[in-house]
Amino acid sequence: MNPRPPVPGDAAPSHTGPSTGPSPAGGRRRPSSGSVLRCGLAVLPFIGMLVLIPFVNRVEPYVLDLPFLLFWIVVWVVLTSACMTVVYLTDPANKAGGQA
Amino acid sequence: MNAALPVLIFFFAGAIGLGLYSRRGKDMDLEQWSVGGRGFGSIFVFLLLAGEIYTTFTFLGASGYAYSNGGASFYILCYGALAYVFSYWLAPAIWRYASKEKLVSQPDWFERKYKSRNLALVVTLIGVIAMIPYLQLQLTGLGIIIEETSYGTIPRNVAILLGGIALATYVVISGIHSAAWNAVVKDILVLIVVVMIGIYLPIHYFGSIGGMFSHIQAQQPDFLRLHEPSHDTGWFVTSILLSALGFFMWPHYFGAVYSSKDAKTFRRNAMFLPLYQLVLLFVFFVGLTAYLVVPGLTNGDLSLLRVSRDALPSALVGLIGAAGLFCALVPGAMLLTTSATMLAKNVYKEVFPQASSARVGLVARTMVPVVTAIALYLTFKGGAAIVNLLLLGYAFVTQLFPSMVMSLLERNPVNKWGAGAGMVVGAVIVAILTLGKYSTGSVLPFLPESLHHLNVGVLALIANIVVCAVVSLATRHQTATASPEPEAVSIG
Repeated sequence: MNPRPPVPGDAAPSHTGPSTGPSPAGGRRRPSSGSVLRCGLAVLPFIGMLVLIPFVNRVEPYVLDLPFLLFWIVVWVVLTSACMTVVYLTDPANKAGGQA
Repeated sequence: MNAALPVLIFFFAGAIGLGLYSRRGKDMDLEQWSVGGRGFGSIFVFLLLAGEIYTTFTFLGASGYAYSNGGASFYILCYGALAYVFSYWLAPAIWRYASKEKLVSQPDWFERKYKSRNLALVVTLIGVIAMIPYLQLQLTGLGIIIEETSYGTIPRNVAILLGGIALATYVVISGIHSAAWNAVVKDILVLIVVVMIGIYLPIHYFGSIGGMFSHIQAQQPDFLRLHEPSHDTGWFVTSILLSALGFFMWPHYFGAVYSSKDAKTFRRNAMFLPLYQLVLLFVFFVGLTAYLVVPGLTNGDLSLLRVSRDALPSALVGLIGAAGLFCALVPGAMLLTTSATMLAKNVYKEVFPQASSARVGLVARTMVPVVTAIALYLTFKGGAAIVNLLLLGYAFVTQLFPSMVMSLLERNPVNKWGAGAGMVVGAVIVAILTLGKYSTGSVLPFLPESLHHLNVGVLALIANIVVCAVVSLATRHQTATASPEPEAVSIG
């Protein structure tokens, strides 16, 4: 369940795991190309759903019967899921035994 | 004549029965009662976390917001998806430390990380204050559901009271176990009901979903995009951001994370939960249909049930009400369990440190009716629209975000003074701005027009980060813990 022993002499308790990755609280390990990729994928949805909103705030054209703004958001929700699937599949933390 | 109410009562009895059944063979100590003995597998954790998506807020609030504000309501679809991106990294980090340290509540986290009981007390207060509007929201929803499905026979206030009593009873008995089991029923029921009426109602009235949209466009051009000055793109983007950050800061979300068996669960869920959000699309369809069919409601939260009543037989209305009922009970149970645990463990136990754990468990259960009563009182005093209650809660709870994220760093430049000062300043600003109904533009008139409707929670968050950085710097010599890099990193 919790195989990792507490780090001795750890004055400021912290999470110690190999999978910190590019979280907002990202560890200070040297980034591998894989973690750069995952970081980029995680940022994409934020660009789609925050940065680009002012440019897609319109009703027309309708796509798949949806007003354009709503269509745009739906597409990005699906893409978020796709991005996170790639992140999951390429993250070494999820390999067999990567339980941390 | 009215088949809706019997259907509703049947499901209600079922929910209580399931809550009782779920506690069988469990020795209900505090850890079992509040975090399920940390033994919940993927599916339960998935559903508990998804419980956040399908609440009364989604069911009645999202349709109501679409009814009243059109395109602005689409923000609800965005923030959950973005929150799960954070969760991929954040939730495993929280879980790992929490299970190592055997944490039960969110304030435990701050107490352990910042080595300060007073900070834990501040976190407890902010958390409980934020959860009360959220609980009010569930109770308001329960009241609306019972009132509407009884076709007005049971008045709203009686309905709210009944719902509150029932909720408190079943939480006292089985704690988070009741939420977990009912979450399974809830999600199946909501999925069926929402998809069904979301597709049926537009077709019934307008031939197709596209037909419904073109009717709206003909009647009020621009309704389907961000069109009101008070809900412009600045409001939209900041509300999404604030809600996505606040998502994890809910004390009951911490509880759901703690209840997991392993960390991989969260990463796996991060792939699927964004898609789960799409069910909201059908909720929007219902709200927008109602906009055309039952115009003029002062309370948009009624729109989903009102339009369903007009179009569907009463037995089906009862089923819709039952789905809404579960939507209120499951998150309501989580909110009550969590706030009661926090008050018992982080307030009562601090004041009476020699109290036995059985006694703390008893106090936790006693707190359930107390918190319920407070929420009921505030609901009767004056109910706001469901979405506004939620935005208030989110703005509050987001104030925990900066010091929470910083505490994940190996060398945290923020100390307990900075963390506490930042939180308090942020929370006070939120309270003043929200209760006084100030907008960003009225507080900071020198900002460009396009920034005048930013969510005021963002102002509070910025103030929070600044105060947190300054105070941490100013007090860096007072703390003995080694922090060689005191420069404050602001995260946004």
